[in-house]
Amino acid sequence: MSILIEKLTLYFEYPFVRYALIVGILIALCSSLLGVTLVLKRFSFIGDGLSHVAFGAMAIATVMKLSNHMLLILPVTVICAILLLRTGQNAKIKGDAAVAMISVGALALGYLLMNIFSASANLAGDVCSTLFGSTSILTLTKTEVWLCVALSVVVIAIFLLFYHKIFAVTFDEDFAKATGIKADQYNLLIAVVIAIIIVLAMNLVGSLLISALVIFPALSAMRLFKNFKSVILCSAILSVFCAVLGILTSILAGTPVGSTIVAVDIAAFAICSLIGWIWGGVKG
Amino acid sequence: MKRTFGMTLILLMINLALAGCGKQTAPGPSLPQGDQADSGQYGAAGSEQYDPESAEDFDINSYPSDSFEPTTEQFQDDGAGYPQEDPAGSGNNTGFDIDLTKLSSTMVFSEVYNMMISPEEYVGKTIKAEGIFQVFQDSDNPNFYALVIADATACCQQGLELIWDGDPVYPDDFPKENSEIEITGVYKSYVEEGSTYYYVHVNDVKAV
Repeated sequence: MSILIEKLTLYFEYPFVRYALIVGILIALCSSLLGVTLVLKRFSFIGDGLSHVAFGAMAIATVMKLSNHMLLILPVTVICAILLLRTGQNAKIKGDAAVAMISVGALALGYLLMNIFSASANLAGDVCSTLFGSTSILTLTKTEVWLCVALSVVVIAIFLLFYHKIFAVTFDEDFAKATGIKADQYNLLIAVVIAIIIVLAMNLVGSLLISALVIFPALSAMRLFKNFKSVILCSAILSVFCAVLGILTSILAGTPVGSTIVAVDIAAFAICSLIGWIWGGVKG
Repeated sequence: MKRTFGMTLILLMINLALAGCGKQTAPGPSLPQGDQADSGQYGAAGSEQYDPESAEDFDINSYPSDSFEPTTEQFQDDGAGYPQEDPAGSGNNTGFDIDLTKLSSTMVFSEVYNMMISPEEYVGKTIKAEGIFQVFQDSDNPNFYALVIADATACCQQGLELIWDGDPVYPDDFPKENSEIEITGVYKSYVEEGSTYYYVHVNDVKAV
């Protein structure tokens, strides 16, 4: 144990480790807040689709040699989130088909663009790093950390301000509409917030693993609690705990950050499922 | 029944967890010692024992690669010349400003990435690192030697350019290509055709 503490003390002298923990905690918190809503609204796969869109946008930003990729990735992902939501309401292309279409389309186009136009000598490395976020979280600049903090504050503020509306829209959209809540607008707001979270989380776990960050804490919390507020709180705590444990494990053991965090999330889900099975769900 | 099973399981887990919390009495971390390494060393014949204190004597920003005139005759394989770690040295207790051999692979890759992104912050610092030795040959230019460090997924690599004093002849006086080596030196820069490049001025090399 003393060896681990000694190593951690040494590692915390590096600013990028401190940045990684700050950003990791914020992203985990944000993703868990909206994760519950996504799971309950059967939108679990939207995160995956949007993350592929973000990958495609990042490829375009790389080809255009933009100094700050976020300037392109964020608006493109937000627009696609809105389009997906709108298309989901359109009978011509069903929601799941639209998600699949945009998801694989963006992924393929992104890789194609990077292949044709990329000036990088290590294309496979760039793609691998973006998809799996191998060490992205440990290579953040101070500006990126501040941007992440600002966006996280916006996401958390929106969630807290509109908590009751989001709750109503999540559980019974028709009833919410009947009571005068503009459900479509709140769905739109949820989509925009999800897009922001996806863009932020790309740094932490990479494009392919973002869904895990959104879905696992929510599902784990649902094994233990039945009450919406309890599930949200438990999900947030679990998500932050798993992210911190995953980051620390990865820097200590030298494993890829993204997949280590997801592995910890899976372990937490298994433990929560076991506890939930034994107790039959604690009434929260 | 379910509750009894659950209670038993949790008690068992607590018992296991407490049993694993015993204070470790073993000595501290078994950090790699220079003289424990088995293989030969490729130290510049003309260079003395590496002294981090003398790092400031190097003329930073003055190295033009196209006029590279190494003066050291050869690399030795005599097992001497490896810098001994100074436990009371810099912040990481190794006598080096940046000791990458003490870090996990994820940390090493991240630190080297930062050295690539903000190299000016590292210039003049003493460095110790492990990686794969690679040679890039070009008929029109001198060979380019590098220490390549991969990330945890092994899909991304960072390379530190290595430059020696003296006049070593490739391949006789160099480590075997693609072999794992440990280098010590100083991080410096040179300007070539208007662009600034960064490299490690190697004081000592040892096969790992």
